[in-house]
Amino acid sequence: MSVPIPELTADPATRTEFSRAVRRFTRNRLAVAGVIVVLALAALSFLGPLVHSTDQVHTDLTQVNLSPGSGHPLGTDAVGFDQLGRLMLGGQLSLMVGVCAGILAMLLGTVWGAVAGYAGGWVDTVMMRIVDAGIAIPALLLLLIVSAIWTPGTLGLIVILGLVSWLVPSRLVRAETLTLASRDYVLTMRAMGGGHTRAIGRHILPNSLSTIVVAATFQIADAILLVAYVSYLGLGVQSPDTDWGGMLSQGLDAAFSGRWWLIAPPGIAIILVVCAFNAIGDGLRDAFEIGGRR
Amino acid sequence: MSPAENVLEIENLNVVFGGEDHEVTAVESVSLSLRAGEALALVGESGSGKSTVGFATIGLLPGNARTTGRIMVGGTETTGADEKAMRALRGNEIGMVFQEPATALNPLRRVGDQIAEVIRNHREVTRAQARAEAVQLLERVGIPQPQTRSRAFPFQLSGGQRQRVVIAMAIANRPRLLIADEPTTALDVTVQAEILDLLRDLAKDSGTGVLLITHNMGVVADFADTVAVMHQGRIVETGTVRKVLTDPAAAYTQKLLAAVPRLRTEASDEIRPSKPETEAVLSVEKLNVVYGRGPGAVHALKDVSFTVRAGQTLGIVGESGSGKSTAARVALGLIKPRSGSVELFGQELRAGRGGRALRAGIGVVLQDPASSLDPRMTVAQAIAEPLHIHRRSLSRSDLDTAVKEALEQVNLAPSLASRAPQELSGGQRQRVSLARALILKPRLLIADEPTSALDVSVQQSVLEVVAELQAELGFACVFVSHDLAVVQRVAQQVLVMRSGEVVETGPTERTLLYPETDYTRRLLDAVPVPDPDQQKIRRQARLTLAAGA
Repeated sequence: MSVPIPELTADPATRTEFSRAVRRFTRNRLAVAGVIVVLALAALSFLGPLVHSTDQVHTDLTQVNLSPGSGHPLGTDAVGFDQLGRLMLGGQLSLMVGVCAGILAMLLGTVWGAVAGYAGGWVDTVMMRIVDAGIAIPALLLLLIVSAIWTPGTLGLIVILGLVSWLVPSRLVRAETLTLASRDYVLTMRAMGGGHTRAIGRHILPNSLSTIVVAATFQIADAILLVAYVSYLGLGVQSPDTDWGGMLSQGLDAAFSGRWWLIAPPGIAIILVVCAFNAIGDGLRDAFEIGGRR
Repeated sequence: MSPAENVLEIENLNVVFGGEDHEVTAVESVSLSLRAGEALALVGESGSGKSTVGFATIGLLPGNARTTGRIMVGGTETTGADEKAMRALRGNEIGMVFQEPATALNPLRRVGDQIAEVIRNHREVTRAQARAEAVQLLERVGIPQPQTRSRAFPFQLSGGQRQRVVIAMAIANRPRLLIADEPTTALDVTVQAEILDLLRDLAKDSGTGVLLITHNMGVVADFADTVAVMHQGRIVETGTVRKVLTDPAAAYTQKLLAAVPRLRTEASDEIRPSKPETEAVLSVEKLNVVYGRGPGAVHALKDVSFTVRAGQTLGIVGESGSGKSTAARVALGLIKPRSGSVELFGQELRAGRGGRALRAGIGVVLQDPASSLDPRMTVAQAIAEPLHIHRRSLSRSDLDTAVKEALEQVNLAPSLASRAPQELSGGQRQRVSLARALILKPRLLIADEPTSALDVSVQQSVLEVVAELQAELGFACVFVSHDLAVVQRVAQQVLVMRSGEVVETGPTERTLLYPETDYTRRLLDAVPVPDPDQQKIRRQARLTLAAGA
């Protein structure tokens, strides 16, 4: 006997998964604020100099330690650089190094973790013990030793920061790979003759994308902080180049003489950008994970 | 009859869930009553709202639920009661048994202590008294050596024993009402039969009313006095178990019952034409799979051999842990056997390129519809994947045509091609899996519990599609299932497995009607049939057999 197969009249998909994810993201007010803050700081740093152009190469000893006022909205520092212009210049470096280093760390971590998790067995054991060993060494210590030996440029900073911060993401991606590799759709594909490349490239990586993207935002926030640490300790980029951490370090002398404009702007900028990236990460997690994808 | 005699009285219950985009009515004007000492079964397919009624009764609905109507438990109204009043009821007046015994217990505490805690939550007794009572309860639910066992952690007990502990916790304070939500669904049939016997005895002894929530008509026939059938949040039919199961009035109940696979216990009149011996498509010889080394090693398969011939279906049955899925996975090359050979289409199955080409002839459908399709691929991409692997030269339009044909083969609308899997129902997903498995016109289909997660009516339609396509395409099929009634329906040959060994094998018609081994007989006897009279006779026979053994 036969039961008629029900007619498939699934409701018209009015909203795509992407627009639903966007909606979930925008519902997180803090995340939206984070996006606005990051965009605003990026605009300030990269577009600001077009509006407020200043000389950040030549010192001007006639204009030192001016308080905020006409001509210098945020005053000038001890060698006569315009403080607002300096904030823009420092922001370019902080943001660029932070974003690039965060992405580099994520890429390294993803490849390492995916290979370890998928290969399994002794390959996995060896690769993950290397990660364990790396994590046992404090990143800051490594950074200080390296910068004491060698003065890095922008590219150098990105590479060094990337190299010290891929370890934690690699663990995340490995864990994700382990669960995904045993999903029925991967097993089915393997049983029907599919290869490893397809398993990783078509199934495992696309499905770990949410984890990777969310982790990347936190990595970026971490990297911006690391840049600030290193520069604060006087081991970052060399003057007249600067970044927000370096500005803080140079302004420290002025802290007790009432010249707050040398410390507050870069300090607030660092706090804002780190909080903003963390909020974006939270928002992305909402956007990806409530969707019933997993 | 006054409501006071009823342990549970539900009047005009409505439950609405506030969702992300819109509201969903889960339960609509449901009224029920349950007398002391009786068992009421609430049956329905997934999404019918049966569990929601249970959760509403104990006040454990999630925060986005709005409830109207009245629920009275032993004369106390629970709708609108505050959390403190509900806590006093839960575990005391109302006991709960959930589906998954593994997650219902705290893994870090000894089972005796967990039972004692429930007792001390509601009664002023000393720790020692509670412990002693916990041991008595364990004895009452049939756990051997209760004194020693009360010191055990949940992981040291089997699934059936864990469910007994959960039941002991539920009855610890002699509740008037016991709510059992799919209490045996996660268990093997033989264990299911024991648990149902236990619940029946407990209810009879103490006059507890049992609200049994289940999708299994056989369990209903075995256990309940009255039945309420739910469909899309409403009750479509209520009545005594005999009336509803043997002479259903509502069209939905009739449809549901017709779809339930029934275990035949007598030879059918219809004579199946014996097919000529066809060529062997898959033959495995003396497979051994061992996990681990040394004394702790687990023999997942011991000397397992079988052959599947073109156009035929081999059913592999057995309880959980019997090695039936492992056998299928070895045949698929997903697990390497320690010894033995797998021969596919007359050639040894090897890893690497050569093996890969051979695998173009295998189709695979695995159990879980939730994970059988990649959530990031559309239906069309998923179905086309085998083509991408084995027929790389196909053009875009050829691919589209092939996908469309495959969808039509499994009775799905071609418009589904662009959908994401999570927009489909479980049955639709399994049919997409089937379309993917069959797109290369394989000579062998390996299906591991393909319909176990599906509702009976959906299961029926999926099984029909498989049977039709097998008749049309002539592939051989390995069908792994724990459900003997389903295997009896689809398979010509059957392999009964237990602890990694083949217990019995032969034509389905003979082995599942006149089994040669005690194990197969016990397995068959434990299957509840959806007919209360017949089930009563079967139960008596089973108990006599057990008492004699």
